Amino acid sequence: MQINRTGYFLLGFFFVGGVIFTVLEFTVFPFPIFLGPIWIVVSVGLGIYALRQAGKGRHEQWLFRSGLRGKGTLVSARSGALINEQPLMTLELDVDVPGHAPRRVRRRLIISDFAAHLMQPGLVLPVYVNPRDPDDILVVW
Amino acid sequence: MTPAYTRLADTHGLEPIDGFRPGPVTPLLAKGGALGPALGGNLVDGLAGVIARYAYGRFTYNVVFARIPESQPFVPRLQCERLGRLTDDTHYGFEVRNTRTWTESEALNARYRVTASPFQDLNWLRQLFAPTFVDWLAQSPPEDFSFELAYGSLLCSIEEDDPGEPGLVALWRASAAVADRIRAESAE
Repeated sequence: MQINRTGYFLLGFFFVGGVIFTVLEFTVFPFPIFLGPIWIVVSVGLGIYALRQAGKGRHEQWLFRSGLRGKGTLVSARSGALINEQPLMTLELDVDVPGHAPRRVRRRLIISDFAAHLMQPGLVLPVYVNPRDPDDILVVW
Repeated sequence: MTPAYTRLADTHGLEPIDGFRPGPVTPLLAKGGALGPALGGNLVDGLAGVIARYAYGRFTYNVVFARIPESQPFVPRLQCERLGRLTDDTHYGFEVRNTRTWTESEALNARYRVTASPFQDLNWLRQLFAPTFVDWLAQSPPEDFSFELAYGSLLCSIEEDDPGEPGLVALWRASAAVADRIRAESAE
């Protein structure tokens, strides 16, 4: 995931707005309603989440460029919570990469509703494996 | 059975198929429409195909469906959609993007929008869209032709409601060429 301009604007808006509200609440308002601190906490929390997701995205890009290409045969697929109306799925795959012993790996991924219906055992998907850590894989779906 | 489908069956030796329902296996088929009439036959050597009329809501297509499971490990999802094609009326503008647009071919960009998985092997796409195939896609298929490949299911389609027998033949032939190209590249 990468944060876009709208995301930066929203984070900045709520952080700056939170600071302004906090100052006003404790200097001008008759009593604080804590709206400003709440905005600050939420914007900082979302900022940390966005940074983590951006790091994860960079790692996936690195795996895509530098990983060993192989095949993953779906053994099982379970769907759980919905995130943005898309199911969070747990996929279990038998990963086969040239030069490495076959291994079974489990991954949790947010998958589009359309594709989620097609995640059936036996489906073969491309995978990219970290050359230094065979459990670190990127599943192309 | 419409007259065009009857003539197509007679001239190309295709057999009527009752109750053809492949399920929601490609983005277009996931719209939940009904398929019929449907004719089945040999699309290319050793590959069965089905040509059918497909309708949902105000949209009607004529489609060719075939299974190419050997493509799965190379290209899970691929859409080559005619520029400007609309497949539904509900766009809110906040849909989550889980595809990546491939824009390396100007000839394709002029006529189609090509999308694939975000981490699709680009070398494989370049090999699939070899210059001869790109030239063919840019010039030869029917004007409203599109195709989509999802987890081994290929669906080629045209938007004309009643293209007549010549239109159906053109769709069948274009679909055969696309299927043949995907099969050939998957086998390499």
